[in-house]
Amino acid sequence: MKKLLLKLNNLMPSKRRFIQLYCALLFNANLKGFISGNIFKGNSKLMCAPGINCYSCPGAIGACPLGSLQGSFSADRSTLYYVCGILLLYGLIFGRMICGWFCPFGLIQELLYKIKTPKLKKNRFTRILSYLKYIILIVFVFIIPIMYAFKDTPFPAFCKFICPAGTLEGGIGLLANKVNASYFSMLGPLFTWKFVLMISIVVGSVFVFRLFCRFICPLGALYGIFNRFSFFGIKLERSKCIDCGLCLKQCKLDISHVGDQECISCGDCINVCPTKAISFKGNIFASKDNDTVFDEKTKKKQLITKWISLVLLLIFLGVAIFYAWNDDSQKATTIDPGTQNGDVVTGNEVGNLCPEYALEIIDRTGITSNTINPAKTGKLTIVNFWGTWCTPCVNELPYFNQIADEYKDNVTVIAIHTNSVVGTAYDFIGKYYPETSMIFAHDTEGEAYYSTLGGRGTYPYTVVLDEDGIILKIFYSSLEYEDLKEVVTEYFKE
Amino acid sequence: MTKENVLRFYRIYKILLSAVIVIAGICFIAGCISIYLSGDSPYSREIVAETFGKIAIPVYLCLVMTIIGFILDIVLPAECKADNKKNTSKRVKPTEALKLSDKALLILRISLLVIGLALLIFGFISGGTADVITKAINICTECIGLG
Repeated sequence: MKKLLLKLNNLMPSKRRFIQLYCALLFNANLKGFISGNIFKGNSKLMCAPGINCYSCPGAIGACPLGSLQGSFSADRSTLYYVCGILLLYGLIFGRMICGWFCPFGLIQELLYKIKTPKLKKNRFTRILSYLKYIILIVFVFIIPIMYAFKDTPFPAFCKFICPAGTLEGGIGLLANKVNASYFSMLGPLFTWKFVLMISIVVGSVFVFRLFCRFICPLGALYGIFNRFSFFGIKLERSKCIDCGLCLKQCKLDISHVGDQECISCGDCINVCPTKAISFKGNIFASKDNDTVFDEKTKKKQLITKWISLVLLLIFLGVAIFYAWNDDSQKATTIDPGTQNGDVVTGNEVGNLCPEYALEIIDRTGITSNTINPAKTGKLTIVNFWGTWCTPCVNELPYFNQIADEYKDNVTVIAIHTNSVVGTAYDFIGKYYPETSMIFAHDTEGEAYYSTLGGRGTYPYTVVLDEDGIILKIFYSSLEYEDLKEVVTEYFKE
Repeated sequence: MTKENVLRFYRIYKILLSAVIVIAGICFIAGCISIYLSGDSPYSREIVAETFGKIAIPVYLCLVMTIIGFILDIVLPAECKADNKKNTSKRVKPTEALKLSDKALLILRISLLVIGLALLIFGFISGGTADVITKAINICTECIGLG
């Protein structure tokens, strides 16, 4: 029995590993999403998770801080203040301890590193390479998105071109579910590029410790700036330090001294310090003084506190999973599609009759008193669902505008903006589409019309209706002018 | 290996490593410029594919240079690493690292805490969460590589 307990004790994860696993599960508590293939839409997503956790992952219940930051540059100023406030507080309180203790992608890399292969140790070159993440932070997270924000185009350059967490957690996570088979039609050169990059990082993490964190992650670079003055992290008692350098040798990261901007507060250096000069800041994770010897009563108190904390944490996790599982927002709000109209069934598939609804028309001044029913225009109707926060949507609108202008007598183009943040559309329309044959409208509450027409959370989404309101084609990906022209010419040829 | 050979090898290594870093840097800048320009181009699949072709070349070169840099550092003779102190990772003695005084640390922490809370509360009250949640509850097709 004792041998078994000893064996179990050896297999038990360390405190840090346990917290990493806990956080990975907590930030991805929407277990239902992995089964249903839908992403979580609950209110907890207005809060950013501290580490890199793509909000398009089916399990994610929080927003990604990097994605939110890049998106905030082209959004309202209040969004920028909100996101900056969150990042500032995370950095100040935890510093880069988030990377070492809370980040799910960091956990994935550490688990991959455990695979028994020859390892690449840190050297002068890795030290130089560790500065790359600061360049990525400045260029991809700040400069490029800000420059595009001046053109009112959201452009999350890091998320789009580099982030492997998005590809692994979001892309693979969604594509793995057969419910999302339609997403395969969207795959193109961007996916090829991101997939190759993701695989390179995953494979590289087997040989290089935390390859992404050390050389690429801009969030780690940002948090690292706060390491020196964060509330939690690693601290060094200079009076006890004898400059033996054992801490540097033990550390797998490219630190120049304990607690610098590269330090993720993993604590590996604490055990090797001969004078016990290194400890955790914040005093929650260790005793006040490393040399303190506790009496039996205090030890018992500490054990009870430990078990109570564990139970409370598990209850909190259970509540999070329960809340996500039963969250009603995952059930898409839809409009009553009505019933059969003769031989034609009302629905959201090709050949079905499009559900009728009078959508409010918007223009540069706001919501007008006019309405439009996409199923009752009497012309070929192209219905495009878009948002000012969505880069591909903004990029393809000129093509819809071109088609609307060319075929204004025979084709109706309706660009339906998401109901949430519809206020951002008014200035956009006034600035870029002051005189257009396109009709701008906004969706109903909860994006109900979008869901009724079969939208599954991806934007842009385009539905083509004939003169009688029957659904002819559905497009899940961005469209070009040639695609739209082909639809129109094919219809009128028939 | 004689000392002269070691020094000669080390000189060649330093030149090669510097060249690798410079080439990787140029490729990185070229990649960044290509990425910036790709946002400008209309959303045409041919143009996107062409742009990715342009981006891929400098970035793949960057990767190749990085791998070469790693290999160079591995094959560097142990004598070079032992002899030349500059060859070791730049180490700052912990006792010499810049230390903030307790008072300065406290002022800095309190200031940042106040600023962070103010930004968060102001942003929350002004409706800054709307854009965050809109982006988070819809699938960011670009972020997950659908495109």
